[in-house]
Amino acid sequence: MSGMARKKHLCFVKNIEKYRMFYLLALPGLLYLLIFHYGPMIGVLLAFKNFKPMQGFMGIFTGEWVGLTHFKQFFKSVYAGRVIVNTVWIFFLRLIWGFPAPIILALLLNEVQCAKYKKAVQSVSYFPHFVSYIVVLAIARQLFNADGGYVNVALKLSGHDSISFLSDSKYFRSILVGTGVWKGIGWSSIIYLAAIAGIDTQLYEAAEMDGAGYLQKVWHITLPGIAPVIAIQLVLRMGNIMNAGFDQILLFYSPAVYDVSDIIDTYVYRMGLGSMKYSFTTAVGLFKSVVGLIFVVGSNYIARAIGQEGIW
Amino acid sequence: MIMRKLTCMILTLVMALSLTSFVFADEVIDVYVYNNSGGVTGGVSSNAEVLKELQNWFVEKTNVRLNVIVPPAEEADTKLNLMLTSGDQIDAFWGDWIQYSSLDMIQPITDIYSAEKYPGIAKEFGFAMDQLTDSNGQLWGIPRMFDISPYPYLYRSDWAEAVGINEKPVTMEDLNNLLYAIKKADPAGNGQTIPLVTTSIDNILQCILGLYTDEGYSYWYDENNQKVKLYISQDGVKDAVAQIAQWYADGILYKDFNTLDTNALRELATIGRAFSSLQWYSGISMAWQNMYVADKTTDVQGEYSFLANEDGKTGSNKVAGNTRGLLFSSSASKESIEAVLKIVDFELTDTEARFNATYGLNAWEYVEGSTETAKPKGEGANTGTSLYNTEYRLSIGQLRISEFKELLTANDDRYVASNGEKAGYFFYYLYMDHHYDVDTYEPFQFNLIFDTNAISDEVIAYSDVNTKIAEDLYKFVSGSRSMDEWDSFIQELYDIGMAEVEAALTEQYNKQK
Repeated sequence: MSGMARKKHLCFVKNIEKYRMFYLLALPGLLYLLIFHYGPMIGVLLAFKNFKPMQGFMGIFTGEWVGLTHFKQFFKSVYAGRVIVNTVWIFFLRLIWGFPAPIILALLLNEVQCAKYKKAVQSVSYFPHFVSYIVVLAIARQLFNADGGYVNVALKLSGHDSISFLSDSKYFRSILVGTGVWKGIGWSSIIYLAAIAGIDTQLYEAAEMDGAGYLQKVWHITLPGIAPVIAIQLVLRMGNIMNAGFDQILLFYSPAVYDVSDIIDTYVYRMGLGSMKYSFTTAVGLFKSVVGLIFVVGSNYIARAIGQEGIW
Repeated sequence: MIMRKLTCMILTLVMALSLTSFVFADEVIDVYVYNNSGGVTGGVSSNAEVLKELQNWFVEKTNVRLNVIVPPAEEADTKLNLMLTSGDQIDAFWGDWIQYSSLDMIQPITDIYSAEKYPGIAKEFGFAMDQLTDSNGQLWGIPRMFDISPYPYLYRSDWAEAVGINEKPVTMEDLNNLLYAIKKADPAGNGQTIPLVTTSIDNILQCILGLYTDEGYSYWYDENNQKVKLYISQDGVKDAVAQIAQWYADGILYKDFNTLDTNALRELATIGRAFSSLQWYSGISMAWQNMYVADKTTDVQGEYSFLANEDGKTGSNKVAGNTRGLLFSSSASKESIEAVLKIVDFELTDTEARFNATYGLNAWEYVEGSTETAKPKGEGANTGTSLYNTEYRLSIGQLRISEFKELLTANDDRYVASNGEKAGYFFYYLYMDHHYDVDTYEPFQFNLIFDTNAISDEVIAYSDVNTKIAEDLYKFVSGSRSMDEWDSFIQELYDIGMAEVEAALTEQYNKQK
């Protein structure tokens, strides 16, 4: 070992010895990451193999190598382009409408002076997060059914024809995104409320003394104060670009709205996920992960470029 | 001294004998069954004590200790597949033999099963065994279904009588007369009447397509080019779809039908809005039966009819008992398989075993006047069936002919309507009648086995074609696409690969000829 390398090695060893209790503290978490997150990555090989379930774990190594066959199988489909576009488009719709909503809610809640009322509103806003999408679908049906849904009753009373919102491609995405925002807005606002609570109140006092109004305080103090949290949340969210909400879409959609709601996951599901096509679904999952990784790295770079904290 | 020695010798002999009896005693065999048969409520566990007692009873009678794994309420097959893949011990489960055999996850029982050894199974399921037998004669399991005619037209005869129609509708003209009369009369009031419900266009086509085409809802064989083709390309399908579109436009067919699942459909019946259905038979009929059970004063009277042309050809065809049955995992030992078959056979041949497995140990009594039909004993949260989830009933199948026949005539007071007439097991009444009294035709696909998993693996267009059919049928029905474009639609299907699908189907068919 050269002198420089030896010196570095000794420093490293000394470092470990000096901070051994901290390393020991971090060890369970590191082991968890290694065993349950890095270890299973070997399963990615399934995407390039013809895996039969009864081969068990060793099938990952001994299965027949088929290269890019499963990827080709996916992209050869006539609907591959459509499902990718739908996936990305629904993701961006959820981002445009669903990302600012909890921030706005947090800003509004922050201004509520009555503590009891604030807590009540917070609790009510969290509640939909715990409701399953099956219940959300039932509520959506009550609202939007062409036959007797409350919205259509109102339309009829005002002299309009009823609309099959859940079966009409023009409206389906709006209902999908709207119900998704309603479900997640309360829960997602928690982190922003916590970040707002960490802003020094003296800044607000100083701004008030300078004659700043509410909007000016929000623009010049609150938003810059929570900007790092917003940036991190955005970067993390970009990693899910290929996940448009399989659970919700599977329940809500029907053949009537395949053209606007059929995403990668629902398409793969219909193709036979229940038939244990693990290799094919791993290949599609790998494709989604690679795209997600590109977007996470890209958005982290952009976040740092504009002066915000990224994830790394 | 001598007496002492003699006593010691006798004691030693007795001990030795008891040891040998222990050694030679029949060993209890443990078997593990994942009960996704459909007869067990997912995610619900029986009372542990009740289960243990029943288990011990089966051990005493058969030397088999049955360990049942109850599937979750959702994703039961996903859990099963994960358990099988992970090597968890599962000896038997229910599934599609074609799917599991292609993945080497099950084993044939040709050398284990015989009619002589398992007479109960042979008697009840014997004639449906061919659905689980491959082209090499290998038997892959015990069937769950036999040939049935599961797509009748079901309607409320009390409403029909109220509009002056007492005869069952048979032809499409009869059906249209009835549906439009109901729409006009609006028996539910305030425009709430829904003349016709369903959960999908496919369900309606299953019920009526035989009136418009030769083969109905089935693959068909085109003699001109000797190819097996999908139902959609038959002459006459366009007219059937046009009729459905007419119903949709006229408000006969529920506008949001494609958002319904079976429970939502039943809800529409329970709240008194739905008049009739073109659907799998257990859809609306279960709602009506549940109304009888819940409220014996209900006036709902259900009736069924099989639509037919004037020459007697029915709209609905006979469906072959399908390829789903009781299968045995490839890791199961011969002894385990024999033990499971023993339990199934025991339940089929022994009345006490059958009802213990259905209702719980001694939690049942014979229906008055019968020795073949039973009902649960007692009511309430802590009695009999309330504590037991039917896990041990392995003889589940839709082949319990003897039981169903008894149910129709049994003096069972659980299903008596307010007018004193026995509503009976209305659900099973429909079931029995349209399995035995209806002469539905056997289409081309009947008794042929097509491995659609293999086709979807080899032919990517298979899934694309099915997606397009589902999507565009709705467009035609809702009016988003004009019926004049039907021929273009068929051509579009060929453009995306329907010919490849036909080639794959034909190849499979030729191997079975």
